[in-house]
Amino acid sequence: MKLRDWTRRRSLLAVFGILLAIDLLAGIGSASLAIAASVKKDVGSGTSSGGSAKTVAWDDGTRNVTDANYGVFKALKVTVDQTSNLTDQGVHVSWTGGKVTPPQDDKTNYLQIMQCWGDPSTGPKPQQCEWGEASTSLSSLVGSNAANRSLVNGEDPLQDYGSGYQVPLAHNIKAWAVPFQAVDGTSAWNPLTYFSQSSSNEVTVARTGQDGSGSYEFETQTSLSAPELGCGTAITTGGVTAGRACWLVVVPRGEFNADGTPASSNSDGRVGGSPLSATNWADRIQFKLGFTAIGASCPLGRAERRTAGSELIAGAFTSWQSALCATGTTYGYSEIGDAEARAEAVSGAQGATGLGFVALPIDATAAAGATLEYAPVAESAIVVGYNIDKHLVTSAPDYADNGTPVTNLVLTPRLVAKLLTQSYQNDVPDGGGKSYLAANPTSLRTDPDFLALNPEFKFFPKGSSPDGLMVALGNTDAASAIWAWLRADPDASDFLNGKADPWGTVVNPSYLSLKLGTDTTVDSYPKADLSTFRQSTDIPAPGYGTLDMRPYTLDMDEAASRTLHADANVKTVWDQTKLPPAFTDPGAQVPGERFEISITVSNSADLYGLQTAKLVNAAGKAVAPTSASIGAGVDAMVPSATDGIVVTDPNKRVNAAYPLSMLTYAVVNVCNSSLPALADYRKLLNYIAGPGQVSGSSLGQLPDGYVPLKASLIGQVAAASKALASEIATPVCVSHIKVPKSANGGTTTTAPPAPADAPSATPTPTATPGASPSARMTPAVQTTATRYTVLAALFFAVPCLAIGPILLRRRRL
Amino acid sequence: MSGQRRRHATLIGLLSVILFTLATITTTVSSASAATSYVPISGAGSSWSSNAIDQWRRNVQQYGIRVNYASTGSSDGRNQFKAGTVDFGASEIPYGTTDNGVTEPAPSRGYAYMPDVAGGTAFMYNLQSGGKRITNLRLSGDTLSKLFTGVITHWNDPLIKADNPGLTLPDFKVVPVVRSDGSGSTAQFTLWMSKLHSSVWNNYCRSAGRKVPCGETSNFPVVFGKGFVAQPNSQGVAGYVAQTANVGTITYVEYSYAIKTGYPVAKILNAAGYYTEPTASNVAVALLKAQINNNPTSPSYLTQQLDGVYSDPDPRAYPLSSYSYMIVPTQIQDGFTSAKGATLAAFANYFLCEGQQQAEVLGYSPLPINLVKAGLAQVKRIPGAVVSSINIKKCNNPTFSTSGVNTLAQNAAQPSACDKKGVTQCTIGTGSTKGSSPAGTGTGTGTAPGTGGTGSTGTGDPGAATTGGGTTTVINAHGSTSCDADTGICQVVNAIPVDAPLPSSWGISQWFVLLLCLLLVLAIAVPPIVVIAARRSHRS
Repeated sequence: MKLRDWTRRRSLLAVFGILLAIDLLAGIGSASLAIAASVKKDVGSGTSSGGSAKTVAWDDGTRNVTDANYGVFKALKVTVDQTSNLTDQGVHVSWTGGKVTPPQDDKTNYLQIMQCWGDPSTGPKPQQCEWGEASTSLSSLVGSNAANRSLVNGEDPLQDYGSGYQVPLAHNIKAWAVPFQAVDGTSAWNPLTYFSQSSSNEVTVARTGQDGSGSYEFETQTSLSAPELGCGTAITTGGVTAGRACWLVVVPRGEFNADGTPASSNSDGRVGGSPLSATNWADRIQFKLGFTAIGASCPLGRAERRTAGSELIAGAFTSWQSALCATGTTYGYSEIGDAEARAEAVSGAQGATGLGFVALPIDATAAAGATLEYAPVAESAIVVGYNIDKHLVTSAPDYADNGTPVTNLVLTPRLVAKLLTQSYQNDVPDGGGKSYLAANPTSLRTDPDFLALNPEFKFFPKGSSPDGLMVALGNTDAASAIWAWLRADPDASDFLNGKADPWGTVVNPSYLSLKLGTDTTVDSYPKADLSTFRQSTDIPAPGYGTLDMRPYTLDMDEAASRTLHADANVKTVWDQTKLPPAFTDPGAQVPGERFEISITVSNSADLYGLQTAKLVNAAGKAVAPTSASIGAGVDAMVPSATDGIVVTDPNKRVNAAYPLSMLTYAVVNVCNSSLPALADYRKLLNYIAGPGQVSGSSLGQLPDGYVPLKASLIGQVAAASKALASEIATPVCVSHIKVPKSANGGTTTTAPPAPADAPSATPTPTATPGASPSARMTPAVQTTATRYTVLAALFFAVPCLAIGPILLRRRRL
Repeated sequence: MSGQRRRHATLIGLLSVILFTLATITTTVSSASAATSYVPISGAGSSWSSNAIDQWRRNVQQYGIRVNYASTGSSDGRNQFKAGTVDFGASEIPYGTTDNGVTEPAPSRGYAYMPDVAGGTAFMYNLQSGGKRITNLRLSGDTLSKLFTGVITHWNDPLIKADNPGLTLPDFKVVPVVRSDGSGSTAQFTLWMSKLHSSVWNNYCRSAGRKVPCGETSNFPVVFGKGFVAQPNSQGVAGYVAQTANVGTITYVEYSYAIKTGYPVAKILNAAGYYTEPTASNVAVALLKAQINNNPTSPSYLTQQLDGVYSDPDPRAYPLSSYSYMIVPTQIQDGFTSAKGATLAAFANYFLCEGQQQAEVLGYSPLPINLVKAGLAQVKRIPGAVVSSINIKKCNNPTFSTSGVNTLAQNAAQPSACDKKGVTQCTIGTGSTKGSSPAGTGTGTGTAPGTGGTGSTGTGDPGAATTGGGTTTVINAHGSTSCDADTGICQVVNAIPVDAPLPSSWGISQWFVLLLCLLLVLAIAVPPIVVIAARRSHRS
């Protein structure tokens, strides 16, 4: 009996032991997943590149020492700052130990960079590289065939000129080239079938400075942008899904052609031949690029929950959208002016977009009677983006750096005021002939005010000048912020009020009547000089005007894109051949002489790899827009007339603060939104407060150029989310209490169950398949972390429930 | 009994195994399912519709679709499509129109027209009186034509005065701002003038050296010395008028540009004798009268014939309403592949349905069901289109209703009495200037009692209230419509999707719920079982 009892107890204990172990294991698993999911949120600002930077020395011991270019490349070392978790983004390629590119011409000694697909272990073949679609202006800068895929029979002793490289042409004409082979196995002699000048990311020339170093912002492309390469396509091997890897190939070009003859023996003195030709290809350095798997995109065809507002949020929202649809709601976004978004929010019209994005709050008069909830959503900045090449005169001390990018630019409020008021002669049609601008400089280049801060421009040719400061059309809070910054600066406001600067430069008189130095309501960029000009009498009067010469862009993102492409759409060239004849854009500025600046948003500047100017703040410090300085700018914001909303005080002196830091708010008109809409907004806010603040270039993350919200602001988002939850649970708004008639005459209930907030909340069956549309009113458990926490808690709870009674029983014994 | 106990143990063991298995599944099931893969596509053309196209292409990024679009003007869009440099074009007018005696040839590649968005060609202006901005200008068609043909040269012209009994008009010169590039907006406006005010228009054309009768043209003829200003692109003309100093200017541009820049638009006199604004609803009402070429064999299939719109007797109609087209390929050539076709079709399917939800907030009007139906039929002609995914029943277009009537037009408010041609004039601003107090109120200003319209949703105008008053909610058979008491405008639509698509797949969150439910059941069931088992064991 005792023995039996013992055996029975032992077997019982064993069963319980096993169960307990299994349960605890599952619990620990869920808990660690919960921790992992929440830790992801704590990954702070900055780029996600940490750890995946790679440096490769050209001379790895396997190079052919008899290669004519061996001595030229021997010391070259190339670094790529991020080689894993890539998406459509910019990576910084830098190098040292190169030989200087001749300042006057891209003759020799430069790098060519391209993206390829290929074998994951051995690397790409030349056929697999996106190369050969450079613009004619670019390819004319380098040696014969150096920018394309064409080969010349016999030029390269290592190259195969067999049928695989012979272009099939009629009439027995013979030509050789490297065909392009796409990842799907198809191939073509003309790469245009797959990519074009506007879509290819190839870098024809990356120049090396006199110290042997250089850098280039290379745009990596996923299969969304370059399906022919397939990078990042989800591939599942052995149950693990990863993005298809690709390759970044750097082909250094030296001083000798493939056959060992010096470049100087070529008629143009430039090193010739395609980088895909065998000898040049053998000189390559290759980096394996790991791409984030392109997840399932949102399914097309679901109704979108509409939001609308400021362009400041556009970049982040576009990224968030891809992840947000996993919450069960697909969100839409319309970019409209901040003032429009404010008007929408309080319009009272049923069906108006209930959630708007704004930088400044709705004023008390307009907001009267409305129940508004504000939640901060992102920190970013208005920046002056630029794309300027060192275009130096031969007497410049750093002439050897000619053609490399300018990386330091400082602007004071007064300089920005001059650019925004057409006060430089070059920004006015026939500005040189205008008496009212006679005392003014032609452009930044000749303005002593500018040169004092940016001395390297003294060595630019006098005619070198930007196509104005590109600005967007329309009324925005971004424009208000800029004008407030200018008005707060005594020098700039004096200038706008008509006082000459110390060098005698005066504001363009067309802008005097606008009272820009004092008017606090300005929220757009005027282009007020109505002058027109025609180069000759063959051109019909009146010729071109300011908006032909300095056109608006549609938004700040377009301004950034135009800056990158160095094409301000300046329509000043009369084209008699057009039907009807018209002023046309002469096209992009040529590399080596690019000079474009624009007012844009920090995330667009980041996206397009623009340099950003340091702006002088109220404390007199020139500050670059960085995570830290934008954070300091947001920290320095002061309470506004609206409770809980902070705004920039342009007069506040904080050394470290970037003056045009922007904090964007979501504003919800609670009573004007339906309960399902409120539930969706709440899900959105919860996402924004969590995964939406994790910096990174993957879809769903906060794109580079934005700064994650600080903790106190996250708290404010949570509070707003809570307020919406409370309205959903116990409606206070009259509109939510009374039973509205639905369109088909039926009635809908308006008191849905309280949303699940705490981990202890019981799961509602709303997520079961086939749930009715009204189920959307009840948000399910919100974040992944919460889900795992609930799971872990339950796993841990079950054994407690079982062990508790056992313990009691034993004591009774 | 031991057998019973063993059964209990077995039961618990079984449950645990199920539970553990579920937990394992939950953590290993990958949420990445195969995505429909799209390839990037590019287009060019109309700046009239670009504010809408730009928003669509931003929103479809979440579906993995990349669309590039260059807003270079309709003429350029048609030329680029013809040359094969873009995958689609956008234009307000079709190929084959005769402009200044020259007929534009059609492209050799196969193509089809597909409506993309509707809207009103608005007349945005910059006018001041006594230092205050005028925001409630109204114009009859005759006056409008004479303004843009140099017949009326000053704003205090008696003809303008006749339209605006409530305004003290300034003695400023009229500066008509026209497009310098080939433009669909120009074509739309000149077509209207050539149809309704042909003698004024022909006289002007003659003076500009154009062939007469003039008809529609994409390139507005400018006679030097008449004070006209030509600017490139929609943002050029809108940007020009939006300069504070450019008082006296007026231009034709899509309504969204006026909203974007915060400038007012003129209310235009319709055939019923009311001055109306190009709101989404007023455009929707007018477009009910658009004749569409419904002959699928015609090369101009689906192009519009707007005579009925111009003369629509509905008091709410905005006479210069129209829609824009996308020109899409129907053949694989010029670098257009079936992969691109699949992407273009998916994009079109999006903007014809869901994308139309955005139209109103941007200053456009959503396409009505007949145009969407016809448009979707065209989408199916794009090579590579995934026909099975195109279904009008799943189309979440805000004008659709279960009864087949155009919800937007149905719910459109009747104009206020003060908008009727006569001695009174509403004082409320237009465009995005509604909140601002209009200037230049002279004698007889907007004191009309609000009598509302005849429609089910009409509301009265409270008179000369300028402080912006609340809203009135009217319940009718079609749901609740909220109307602005100041303007009498009930702008917003009760969107009724014909068939709401449901998320139906059994995914990770469903597993979660099932698992949580099971765990809960266990939490409830385990203690009693254990207690019973323990008691039994104790008793024996």
